[in-house]
Amino acid sequence: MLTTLTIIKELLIILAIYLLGEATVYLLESKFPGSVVGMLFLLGALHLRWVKIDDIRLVSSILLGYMPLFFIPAGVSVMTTYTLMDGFYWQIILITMVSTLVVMVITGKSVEYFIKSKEQ
Amino acid sequence: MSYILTSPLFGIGLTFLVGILGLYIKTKVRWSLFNPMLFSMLFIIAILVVLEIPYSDYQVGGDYIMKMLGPITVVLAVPLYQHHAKLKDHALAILLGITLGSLTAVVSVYFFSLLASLDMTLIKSLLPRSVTTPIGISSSEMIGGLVGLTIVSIVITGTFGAIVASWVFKIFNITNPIAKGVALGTSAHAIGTGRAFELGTLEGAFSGLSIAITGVATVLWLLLFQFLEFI
Repeated sequence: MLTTLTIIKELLIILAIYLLGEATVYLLESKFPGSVVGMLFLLGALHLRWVKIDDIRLVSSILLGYMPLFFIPAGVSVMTTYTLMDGFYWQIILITMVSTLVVMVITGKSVEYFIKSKEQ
Repeated sequence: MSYILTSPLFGIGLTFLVGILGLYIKTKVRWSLFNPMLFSMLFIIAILVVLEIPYSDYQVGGDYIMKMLGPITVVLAVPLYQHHAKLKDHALAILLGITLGSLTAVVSVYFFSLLASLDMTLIKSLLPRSVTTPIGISSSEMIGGLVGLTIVSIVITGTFGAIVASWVFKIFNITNPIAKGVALGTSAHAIGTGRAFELGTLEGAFSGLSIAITGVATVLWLLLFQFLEFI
């Protein structure tokens, strides 16, 4: 019973912050995803200690731990788009892989360069 | 029969059933690149196709589950907050690296896609491919991509990045553990972070730290792309 109440309380805190993010985006008439604004709000609230990690520990670990489960329906929707991808499968895979390589090299090299230049 | 299939409980039940099966297999197989999400979505697609159940029936329940993506994105702040102390020594180097890396991701996909003369909808779906899935989904929706394709390319990105990381670091002589971690988190999100933790705890922590920052940076780059009317 105590755990149930904890889950409900923590979920309400997270939902409130999420809705605050969505409301902000709506009021600013921005296309920025409200969920990402909510994430920044939670980050700020944690820093200002308005919200403590202990206030959301259980639900955040459940959501983060079972995260893949919640993406499945969005992933299944790919079955409705195959006609558009027809004939482009290999291009899509190749572009994804080459771009991943380039990003890894550029990021790794630049971070290493910036760290070195600061130490000198 | 049809009232069962069009009930939200069908989509929700099937997703959790197959999803938990995927997570269970993940704990049983030694193959670290087994992706429970990819397994589950392909399994469900197979079930729907074989039993000739329309996607729209599954979607009734699936849409309820997708509503949880918002709160999940919000709690991505928790790992970021827990590791933020590690940022302070090299904050500028890390932030600059992620800014450059996420710009590279968007620009390279855009460039290669134009080269391959992909349709604009396909390009929009591929642009957010290097960010963590929940942010990738909302970014794809924001610019009008196909969410399903975005997810598939996110999984390919993460898996491929995790496979090639050690070779890339060797060939391009990247030796600093912080640089390795940030490179993995920026290019290959959570799947890359799993690989980063195999390289070392320092690599893993910095990779995890990079995921949410990469997400925010990518959203900003995409908005700039929209503003400049590239997409």
